[in-house]
Amino acid sequence: MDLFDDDELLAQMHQGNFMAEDDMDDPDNEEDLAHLREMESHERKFKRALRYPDPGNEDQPHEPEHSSEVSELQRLDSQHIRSKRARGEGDTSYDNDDQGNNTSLPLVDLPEDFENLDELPAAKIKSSGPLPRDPTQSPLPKRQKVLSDITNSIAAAMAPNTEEKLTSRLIHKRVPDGDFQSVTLATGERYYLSVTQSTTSLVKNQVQFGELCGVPYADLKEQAFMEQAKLTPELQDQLRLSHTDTNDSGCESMDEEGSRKCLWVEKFKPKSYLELLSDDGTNRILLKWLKLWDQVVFGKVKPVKVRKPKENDQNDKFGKWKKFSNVPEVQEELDEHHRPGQKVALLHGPPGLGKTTLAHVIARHAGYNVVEMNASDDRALQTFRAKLEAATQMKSVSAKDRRPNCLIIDEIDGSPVQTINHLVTLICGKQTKKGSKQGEVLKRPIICICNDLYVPALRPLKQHCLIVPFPPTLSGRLSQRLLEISRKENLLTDTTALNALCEKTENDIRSCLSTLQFFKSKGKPLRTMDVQQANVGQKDSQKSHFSVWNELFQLPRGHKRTTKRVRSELVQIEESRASLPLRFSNMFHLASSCGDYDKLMQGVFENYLQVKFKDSQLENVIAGHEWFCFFDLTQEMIGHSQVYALMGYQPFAFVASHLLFGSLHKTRIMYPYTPSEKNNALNKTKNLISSMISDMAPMARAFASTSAIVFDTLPMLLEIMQPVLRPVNTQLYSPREKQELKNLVQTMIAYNLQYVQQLGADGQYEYRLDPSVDEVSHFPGIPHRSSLTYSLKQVIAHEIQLEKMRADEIRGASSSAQSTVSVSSTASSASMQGHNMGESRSKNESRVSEDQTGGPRTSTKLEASSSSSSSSSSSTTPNHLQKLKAKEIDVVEHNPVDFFGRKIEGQKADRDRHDCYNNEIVSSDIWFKFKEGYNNAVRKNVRITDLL
Amino acid sequence: MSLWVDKHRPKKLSKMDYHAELSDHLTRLVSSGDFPHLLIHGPSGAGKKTRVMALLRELYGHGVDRLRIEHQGFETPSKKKIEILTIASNYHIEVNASDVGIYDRIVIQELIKTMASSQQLNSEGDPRNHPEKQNNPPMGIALKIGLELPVNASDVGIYDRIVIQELIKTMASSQQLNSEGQRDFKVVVLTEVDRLTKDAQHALRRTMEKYMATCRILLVTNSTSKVIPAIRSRCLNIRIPAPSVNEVMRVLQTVAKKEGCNLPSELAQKISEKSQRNLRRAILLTEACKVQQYPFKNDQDVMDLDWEVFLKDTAQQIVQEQSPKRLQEVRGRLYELLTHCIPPDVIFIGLHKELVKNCDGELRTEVTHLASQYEHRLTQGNKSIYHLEAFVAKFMSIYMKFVEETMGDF
Repeated sequence: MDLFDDDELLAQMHQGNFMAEDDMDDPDNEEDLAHLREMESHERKFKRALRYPDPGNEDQPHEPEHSSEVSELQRLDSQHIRSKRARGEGDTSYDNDDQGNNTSLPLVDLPEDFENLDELPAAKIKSSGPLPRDPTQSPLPKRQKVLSDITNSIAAAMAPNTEEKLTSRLIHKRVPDGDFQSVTLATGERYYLSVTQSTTSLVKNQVQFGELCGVPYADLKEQAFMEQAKLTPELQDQLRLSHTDTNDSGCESMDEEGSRKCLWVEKFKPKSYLELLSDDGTNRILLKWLKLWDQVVFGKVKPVKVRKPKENDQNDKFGKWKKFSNVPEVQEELDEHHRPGQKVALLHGPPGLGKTTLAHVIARHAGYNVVEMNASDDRALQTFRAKLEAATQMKSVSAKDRRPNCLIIDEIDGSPVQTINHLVTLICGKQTKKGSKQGEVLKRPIICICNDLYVPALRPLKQHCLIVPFPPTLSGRLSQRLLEISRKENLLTDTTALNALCEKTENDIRSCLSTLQFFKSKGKPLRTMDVQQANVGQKDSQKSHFSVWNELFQLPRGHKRTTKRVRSELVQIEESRASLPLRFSNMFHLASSCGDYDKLMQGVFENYLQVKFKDSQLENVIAGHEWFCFFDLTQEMIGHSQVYALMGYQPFAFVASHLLFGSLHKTRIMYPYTPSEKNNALNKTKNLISSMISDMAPMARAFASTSAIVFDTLPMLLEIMQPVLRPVNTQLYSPREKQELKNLVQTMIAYNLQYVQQLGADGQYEYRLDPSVDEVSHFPGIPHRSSLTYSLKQVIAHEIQLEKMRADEIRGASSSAQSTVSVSSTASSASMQGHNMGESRSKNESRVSEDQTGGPRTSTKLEASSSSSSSSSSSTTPNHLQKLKAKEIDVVEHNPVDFFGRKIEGQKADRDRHDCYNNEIVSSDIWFKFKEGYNNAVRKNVRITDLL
Repeated sequence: MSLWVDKHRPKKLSKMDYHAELSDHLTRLVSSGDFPHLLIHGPSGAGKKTRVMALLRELYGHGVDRLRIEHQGFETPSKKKIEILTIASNYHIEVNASDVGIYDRIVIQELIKTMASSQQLNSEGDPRNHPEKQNNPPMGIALKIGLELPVNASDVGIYDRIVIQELIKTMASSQQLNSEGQRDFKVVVLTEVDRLTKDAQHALRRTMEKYMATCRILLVTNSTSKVIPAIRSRCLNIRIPAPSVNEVMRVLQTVAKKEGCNLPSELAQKISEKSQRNLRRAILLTEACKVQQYPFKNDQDVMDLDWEVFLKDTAQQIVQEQSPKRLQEVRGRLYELLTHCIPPDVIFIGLHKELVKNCDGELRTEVTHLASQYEHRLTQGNKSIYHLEAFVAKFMSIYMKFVEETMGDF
C-alpha cells in the first residue's frame, strides 16, 4: 500500500481503463475508484458512529433474502418473527446487495456498500411503503434506482401527509443537532438525515436481541441452527426453487444451472483488478511493472514524475527496512528500446493463491490481450519458439481485438531447459549485432508463473526477471469472500467454519472453493465440525527443502487453533504453536511432506552449527549427532538391504533436530553444497592417483596399492624428487650428479610422473607435475616445500622425454628385429614399433636379422620378449583374435640414386647413425618433397633421413 | 625402479631380511605340493606383498616377474564405459576390486569371455621366456592377449563379488590346458580384502571351495577383523608382523650400504622409530633424508608426512577449544582429510592417538571406548563425516567437563 500513492495508482488505472474500456464492464468503475478511498474512510466513520455491525463479521449463518423465505420461517417460530421483522427492514439493503451482484461481485464493491449505508435512512422511510419489494420489478440499473428511490422518498417526506410527520423529524434541511448524515439529491439539494433517532430502529437484530429477548445472541444463533437443521430437504429445495423463481436476472439462474457443470473456482474468478483477493502490494508491483511497458507497447510517454525525489527519500529512509523485506524492486529505468529493465516478471508461490488469475486480470487491466502458455501446451523448443514469436511479434488481424499481446507463461518450472534458455536469449536480445533489425527485440511483456522458484532450469532466467513472490491471501479477506459466495450460492455456513476452512487449507482459494462446492452439492450446511473432520486441505504438497529447514531452525511463535478429539468430542483448543506436541507433529509432517530425507539431513548437518541455540555443554550437539548417526545407519540399511520399513523412522531425526537446534533467531540457511563439493574433490584426487597408477611400471605398480601410495609413497616421493642439482648445463654435472639425475628420471618414469610446461596464473610459464599428484599430498596450512627451479624442471622434463624416447627406440629396434623387416634397406629401417609385416619367415631367418641388428635387446628383455612373443605368435593367431594394427605400409625396397641415377653408397655405414636419429619424427613414414632451386628445374625426392 | 624401496626389494623367500622362520614355512609349503588358500594379513609396510610375490616366484619361477598392467575397458548395459586395472603374469592375476565402483560385474564378465575364447589357441610359449617351461605355459592365453592380471577385488566396489567369482571361475576353467605344468593351479591375488563388501566376501567362500582343484586364492589384508569368519576358516592364516625397530634398522643399514652411503645408526634408529615399524616408510624416509642432506648427520631432521601433521594439528585444535564454532572448523579439516583420500578409519585412529595424549586415567579409557564405538558405527554407516564429527563433539563435551572438574579442584 505504501509503495506508491493513490494518485499514481489512479493515474495508472485510468490509463488502463482508457485502453481497455470494453473490459471494464461497469462504466461506473472509474467513478468508484475515485471515491474508493474517501468512501472507505467515510464508511468506517459512519459505522463507528452507528455501531452498525460490520457485515463481514456478521455471524448470521442464514440471511433470509426474500420475503417468501421469511414467511416460511415466520410460521416456524414466533420469536423468530420478531427478529425477521427487524431484519426485514434491513432486507431492502440486502435486496439491493443482490442486485448489485448482478453487475459485479461483492466484497470489493465498497462503493455499493457505501450506497447501502447511505441509503439506510431512506430505506427506513421506504419501509413504510410496500415492504417485500419484488426485485424483478426494477430493471433499472441499481444506482439510478436507488437514487430515484431516495429522491422519491425524500420528496414524499417533504409532501404534507401523515407520514411526513413521522419522518420529518428525521429529515432536515438544515444541519440538525446530533449525528446526521447528509444526502445530496440529483437536483443538488442537500438534506440532512438525523441519525440519533433512528439508531434503535436501524441497529440490526443482534442489538435488538440483546434488548428485546434478553437471550444471548449466541443462543439465538444456536436455535437458528437447530431450526435450519430441522428444515427438511424438500423445504430447502423449495427454497432454492423459490430463489430461482424470484431471481430476476436470467444469468443468475443460468449460473445456478451452470454451477453443476462449472466449477466455482471458474465461476467466481475475479474479473477486475478490484476484485483481486491477493496482496495489494504484489498486485501493484506487477501492475507497475506492466505499466512500464506502455511506452514501447502503446507509444505513450510516461508523464514525468514530480514525486520521484520524494520516493527516493522514502527509499532512503526505509532503506534498511527494505533490505530485509523481500519486496522486489521494480527498476524504473527504461533501456534503449524504452523497455523496462526487467523484461520478464516471474510470479512464484504455492498453488491455489491465484497467481494465474492475477496475471490475467492485470494484463487485461493494462489493456493487453492475454496469450497463455502452460504445461498443457507442447513446450518443445521448436513449438515454443514459434509460439513465442507469434505472441510477441505479431498482432491479431481480426478487427475486433486490436489490443497488443501479453504473454503469460504458466507453470514455467516444468518446462525443459532449452526452452527457458531460448526465452533468456530472447530477453537478453543477443541480436544486438544485428541491431538494425528492430523486429527481433522483445517488445511485449512476458509474465512467467511458477510454483518452485528454485528449479535448476529457471536459474538463467532469474537474473533477468522481476521476481515477485506471491504471499498467501489474508484469511480474513478470503473468508469474507467465501462467505459472500456461499451466501450467493445459498450454502448454509458461518464465518467460523469458513475461517477454519481457510486455516486448514492454508488460504488456498481453489481448495476452499472446491470444498464449498462439494458441500453445496451434497446439500449439507458447512459447519466447523465438518471442516475439521473433512479431508480437505491436507494437501500432499511437497515442501521445498528451504521451507523445512527454516521451520526446523526456527522456534515457532503465536497460537494456533486446533480441534482435538477429547473423549470422542471435538473440542476447540487454543494451542500455543510453541507447545511441544504441536511442534513435534508439525515438524514430523513437514519432514514427511518433503520426503527427500537425505538432502534434508545434509542441510541440517550443514547449518546446525550456525544456529544460535542454547547449548553450553555441547549436550544438544551430541544428542543431535546421535540422531545424525542413527539417520545415517538407517539410510545405509535402506540403501544397502532395501529395508524400507526403516524409512518411517527417519523423519524423527528431523523432529529431534528441531527440538534440539531450534532457535528464535532467524538463521540464514545455506544450501548444502559441501557434500557434493567434497565429493568432487575426492573424485579428483582419486582420478589423479589412478591416472598416476595406470601407467606406472608394472613392477612398481605391483607393490603400490592406493593406500600405500597415499600414506607413504607419495609424500616422500615428492621429497625424493627434489635432489640438489646445480643449475648448470647437464654436460657439466659431476658423475654423482649425473647419477642422481638419472635416478630421478628413472623414478619419475617408473611412477609415471612428468613435468609439463603450463601457462601459470601470472602469465609465466611454469613446469607442473603431471599428473599433479602434489595436490594429493598437500594440505592447506602446511607450508609448501621448496620446489625445484624452473630451469631444473626443464632439464628434468627434457631428460625424461629423452629417456622415454630411448626406451621407445629400443623397443622399436627390437621389435623391428623380431618382425623381420629387412633392416638392410636403409630407407625403410625407420620401422615403427609393433610394425609387423605379417610375412611368416622362419625363425632362423629372424635370428639372423636379429644378429645383424645386434640391438641392445638384453637391457629391455622384458618388453622385448613380450612383444616378440606377440609377434612371433601372430602367424598362428586366428582372425578373431588378431588385434587391430596400423595399416601396413608397403615399403618398397628403394635403392637411392642420385640425380644422375648413380647409386648412393655408404648406406650401411649410415645405418648406425640412423639408429641415433631414430626418434619419432625420423622414424615416421611421413616424407617431404624437397624442391631444389628456385625454378623447380631440378626435382628430386629427398627423405629427411637422407638429410640428417 | 629406482626408488630404494623398489630397487632393494628381495625377490626370493630365502633373501628375506626378517621373519626367517615364516619364510622357511612358506618355502616348505610350496615344496610340499599341497598348497592351500592363504590369508595373509599384517600391518602396512610389514612386507606382505613382497612375500606374496616371492611366494609366487617360488611357485612358478621367473615367469611371475613379467608383470603387465592392463586397462580393461568395458561397457555396462546402461552404456557406461568403465575401466579396471589388473596386474597379471602368466600364472597369476591381481585385482583391487574397490576401483571400478558398482560396475565391476560387467568388467569381469567381459574379461572372462575374452579369456575363455582365447584360451584354446595357445600352444606354445615364447622360447626365450623360460626355457624349461616353454612347452606348456599354464596360462598361455594370457600371454597372447596380454593378460596377466593381479587382482585387487576392492577396486570394483560393491561389484567385487562378481569380479571375484568370475575371475576365479576363469582361472579355474582355463586350467585344463596345463597338462604337465609344474603346478596344476593358478593363483588369484586379491588385495585389500578388508575393503571388500560383505556380499563379495560371502560370494567368495563357495567359489573358494568349488575351484579349489585348479585355483588358489591369496588374500592380502591389513586386518582380519573385516574378513568374515567363513573365509578366515577356509584359508591358512599367515600373519606377517611388522618388523621390530632393530630389524628395520638392520634393513636400512643394508639398503644404505647397497646404495653406497653411510647411514649412522642413530639416524637409522630415529627413522625406524618415526616410521612406526613400517618398513616401506622407513626406506622412503631414508631416501628422502639422503636427498635433503647428504652425508647423513646424526641429528638430521626426519621429515613428517603432511597428512599426519595435518591430523595432529586437527587434534590439537580440538583440545584447544570446545565450541560449536571450533567444531565447524574441525569439520572443514576433516573434510579436507577425507578429500585427500585418507580413509575415515585412519582418521579415527590418528585422532584418537593424539587426543588420548591429553587425557589421563579414567578419561583415556572413556575416549578409547568412544572412538571404537563411533568407528564401529562408521563401518555400518555411509557418511563418514557424521560419525567423525559426532566423535569430535562427544570428545569436546567430555573434555570440557574433565577440564572443569580439574579446574574445580584447585
